[in-house]
Amino acid sequence: MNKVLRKRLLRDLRANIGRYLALFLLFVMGIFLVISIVGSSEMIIQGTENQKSKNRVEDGQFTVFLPLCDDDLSALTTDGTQIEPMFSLDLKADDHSTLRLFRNRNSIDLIQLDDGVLAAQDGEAVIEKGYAEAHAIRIGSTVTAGGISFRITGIGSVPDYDMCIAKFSDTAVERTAFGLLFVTGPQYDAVKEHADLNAEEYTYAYRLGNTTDDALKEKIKQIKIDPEQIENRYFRETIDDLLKDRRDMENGINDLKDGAEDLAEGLDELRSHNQDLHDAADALFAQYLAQANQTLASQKIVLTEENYVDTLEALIAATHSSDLAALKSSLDELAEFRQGIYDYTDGAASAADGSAELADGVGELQDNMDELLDEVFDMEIENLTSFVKAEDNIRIAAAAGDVIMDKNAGLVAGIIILALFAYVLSVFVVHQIEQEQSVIGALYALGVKKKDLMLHYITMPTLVAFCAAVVGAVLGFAFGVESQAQDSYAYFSLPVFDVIYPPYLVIYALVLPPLISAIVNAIVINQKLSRTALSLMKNEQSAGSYRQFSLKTKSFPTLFAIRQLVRESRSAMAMMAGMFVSIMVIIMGLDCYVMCNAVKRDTINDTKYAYQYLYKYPDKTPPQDGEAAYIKTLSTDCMGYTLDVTVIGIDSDNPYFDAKPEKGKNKAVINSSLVERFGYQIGDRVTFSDYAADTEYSFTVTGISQYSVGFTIFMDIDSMRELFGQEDDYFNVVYSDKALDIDEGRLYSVTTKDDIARSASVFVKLMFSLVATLIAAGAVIFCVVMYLMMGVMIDRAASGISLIKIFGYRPKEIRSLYLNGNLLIVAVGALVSVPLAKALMDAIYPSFICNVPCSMKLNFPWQLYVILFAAILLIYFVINRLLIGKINRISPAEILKNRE
Amino acid sequence: MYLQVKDVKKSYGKDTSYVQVLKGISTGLERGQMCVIQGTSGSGKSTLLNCIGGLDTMDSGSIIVDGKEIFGLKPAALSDYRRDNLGFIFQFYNLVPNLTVRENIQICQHIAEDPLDMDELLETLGLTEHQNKFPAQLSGGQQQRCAIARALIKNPKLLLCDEPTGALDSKTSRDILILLEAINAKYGTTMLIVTHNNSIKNMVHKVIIIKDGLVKKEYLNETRTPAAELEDL
Repeated sequence: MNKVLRKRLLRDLRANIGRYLALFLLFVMGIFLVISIVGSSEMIIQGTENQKSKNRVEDGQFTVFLPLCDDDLSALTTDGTQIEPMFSLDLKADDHSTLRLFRNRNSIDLIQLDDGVLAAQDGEAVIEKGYAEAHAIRIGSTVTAGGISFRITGIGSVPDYDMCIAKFSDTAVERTAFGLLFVTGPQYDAVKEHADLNAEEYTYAYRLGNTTDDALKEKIKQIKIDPEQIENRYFRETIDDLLKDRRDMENGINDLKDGAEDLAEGLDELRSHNQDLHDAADALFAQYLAQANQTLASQKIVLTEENYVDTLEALIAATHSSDLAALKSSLDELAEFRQGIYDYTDGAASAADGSAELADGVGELQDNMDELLDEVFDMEIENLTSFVKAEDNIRIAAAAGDVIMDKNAGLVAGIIILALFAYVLSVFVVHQIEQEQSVIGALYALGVKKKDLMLHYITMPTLVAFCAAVVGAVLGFAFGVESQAQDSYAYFSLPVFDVIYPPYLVIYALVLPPLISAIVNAIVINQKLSRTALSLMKNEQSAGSYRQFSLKTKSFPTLFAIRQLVRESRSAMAMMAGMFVSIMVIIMGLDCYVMCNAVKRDTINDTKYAYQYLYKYPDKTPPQDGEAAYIKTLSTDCMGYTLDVTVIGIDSDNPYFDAKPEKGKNKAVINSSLVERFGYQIGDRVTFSDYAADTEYSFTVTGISQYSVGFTIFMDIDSMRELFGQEDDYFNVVYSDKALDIDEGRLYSVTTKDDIARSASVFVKLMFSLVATLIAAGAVIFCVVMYLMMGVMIDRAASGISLIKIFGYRPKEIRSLYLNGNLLIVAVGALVSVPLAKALMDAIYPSFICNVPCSMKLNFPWQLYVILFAAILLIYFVINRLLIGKINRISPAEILKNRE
Repeated sequence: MYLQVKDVKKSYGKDTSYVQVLKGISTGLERGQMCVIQGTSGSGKSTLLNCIGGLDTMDSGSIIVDGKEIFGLKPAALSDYRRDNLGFIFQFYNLVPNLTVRENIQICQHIAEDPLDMDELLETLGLTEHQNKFPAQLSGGQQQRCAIARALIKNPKLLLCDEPTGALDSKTSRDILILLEAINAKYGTTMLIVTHNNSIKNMVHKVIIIKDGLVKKEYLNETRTPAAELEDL
């Protein structure tokens, strides 16, 4: 019997070839899309993993002020850790784009060439493929950067710039604005000689040995450098400013010591002349005494130092001579003078001794003060300026991270679509069973078992699903995967990956469609085949076959249309489900389009400044016409992804941001992007992380700024300085509406409004193909499901249509009875499905962009809803028109065949 | 004559599968007459009924209903012909299963220019209490009465009945025939009944016997037996 039944399969196929073909194509499209999306995601995920292994991707990287010395490198690599310098220079190309120059890599983050060879000699370079593509650069082309010409010998990519952005804070890849160049070591050194040294970045990549990232980081942090070694004058300025107080104190102590020493030396010098003074005073006294003796020689009187006082007093008393009194007075003054000299020299000697002690004391003070200053002002600083683990590096494996959500969404969406298609298929099978129920009853009566018939009726949909799955899978792997991956290739810097065939995906593609089809059909068919042979043979309509309810309407067409709708509820449900799924797909595309356009539009509108100068070495005072601000990057978690949150400290009168942050270290105004993504509101407590410092910062939201660029919070600049321990006048970014004259060496970057506009436009271009694909796929599903379901409704109503044709109904009246009710389904379905699908898609949309810190404005303009609704109705009317022919082909005599 | 059939020929297929079902049938029927067409399976009686009903086209010949030729009419005109003139009753009722009795009747009421009163008809056919039931909730006889009501609601000039009792038991068949007889009497509806049942010929005004695509015999029944007295139904 089974053999006989099998023969019917081909006849059934031939009889319904159009219908099965449409369903076949639907399944093919569904599997093709799943394979394309999931397969390309897997290709990129696994390809990235393979590339990471093959090209020895880093475990992390760190940047230092000064290149590590050999001893430091030896100390860091004793545990088997590999470290390779990835020093770079940013060079300006002729079109003002930036090319980051590296040496060829030896052991980490190796260059994967798509074409050509590595640079082997001076003047040669390998260029990053994205930049090459955007600038139409080929092997043999010449690229000029930093005033130096390079002949391109190779085009490729590196795993540490999978997302080729200049700064970690950049939100979008701009192939036209930034790329990489790889040259030989000597060539790099030669370029460095010509370039501004300030621009060189001392970054090292590492691959861990028997240690951990944190342990390595701690080791690197132990490496101190003397700031004096750093030649960058702006860095020196900064350091000098930081150490000004120490230097003042050091200089004071030094001056004090020098003075003490000078004093000691002077006094010592003075003391060295004491004896001369003594001798001179003695000689002067002796000379005067000798002159007095000469005068008194006639009186036989000899005056001495010891007797002159008594002798002269005796003589004066005897003679009352005024001359003798004058002589005595002179000798007394000389003696007193001599004693004064003696006293002075004694004092000088003591002072010399004291000053020597003072000098010694000041010397000791200086020594102690140096130790004290070393404690208070650390003259050595950590060489480490940044440490980024590979897992935190958004440039690494970014494409793989980007498509993970695509993969998951594709797998889930695939199941939903396949279930829908299987249900659509089951509607046909049920229709077929209903048509054949008397035959089925007869077969039951002849002994055919239910399971044989189940198998028979499940076989065709299962075969259709399986064949479609095979074709869809083959087409998907052959064309879809590569095609779908173009979006990733167009954005990320990836080598060309080989298509892979993940076993789970092959099983998913080949097994799931027939399996879902078999299950759905088995469930639906089982009920239909559960009736008795007699009931089937009599073609009985059980009382419960149709929902019985009263209708009050007096309009017969309305009444009939409602009854018809209820009768065809299964098809109507399939049509509604198809409409909902297809509208979901279309709305996903429209959401994508609307969001990308909103990001572009709002970013441009919200960027009020013309120039943003980001300082690497901040100045003491902002330049004239510049609005100083303090900017710092924190992080937040979004569905497992770490996203940057920019904190901007501004003055209350900053004209470039529509935010008035209150004073307070824990108060902040958040931007609309954060509100859209996380639903924060005023009064909420929000927390962001500084992973580098292992610190979390919490803020109370005091306001919401309609500023849509990235994730941003605004603080009062003084409060922010206080929070992050900066000086009262610190700033590191300046905004301006005109170009400012700021030394380039002091700056980290200059961003113009044009740059921002260009960057914001990237997503619109990138997502266009995806948007088009989604809308086209949704429209196809919508059209096919609607056509098939409306078609099957007509098929099921063929006898009814035939009947009323016999009664003399005119075509227009028939259409009004059998087709116009569908207008109600479609119109109501659209009115329900569009907002419901929109709400659902908006709810899950954040998961699609969880790795992108951007605003998420998904609001459709009302015109878009009107267009969507009008398009749905238009498609309905077109399909309606197509189905009129089907109605016209139903013969009035059709009813006469029902003779049993 | 209300219905005139002249030399109607109808064939199906080509070459080896060619079959001429009607080979030149000619007959007629007066207004208000009840007529039975009898014949064996394949004799062509249903094909003739379909041609008269405008459901099938004939190869040649002429069918004039109430003075109007239907041969050569286009589908739209045929549709209008059926709409304005005919009522149909089928062996298996062909009720629309998801419509109630009343709604099934409304199908034809909706397109009738001068329909009969629905409630009166329901009463006449004993369907008043069943008017809100669905076909699956009715017995075979009730379903056929519903089908008759549906056919009558637009007050057709010609009622075409294709084995109206073919699916019914004897008692129910009698009830239906009594009903048809009463309708003929009450409304003066001309009726053409295709049947295998040999007893029915006794209640009608005219009998046409067809064999191999030709009218083998036709005669007027001078001694009609009321449906209630028919035997061997």
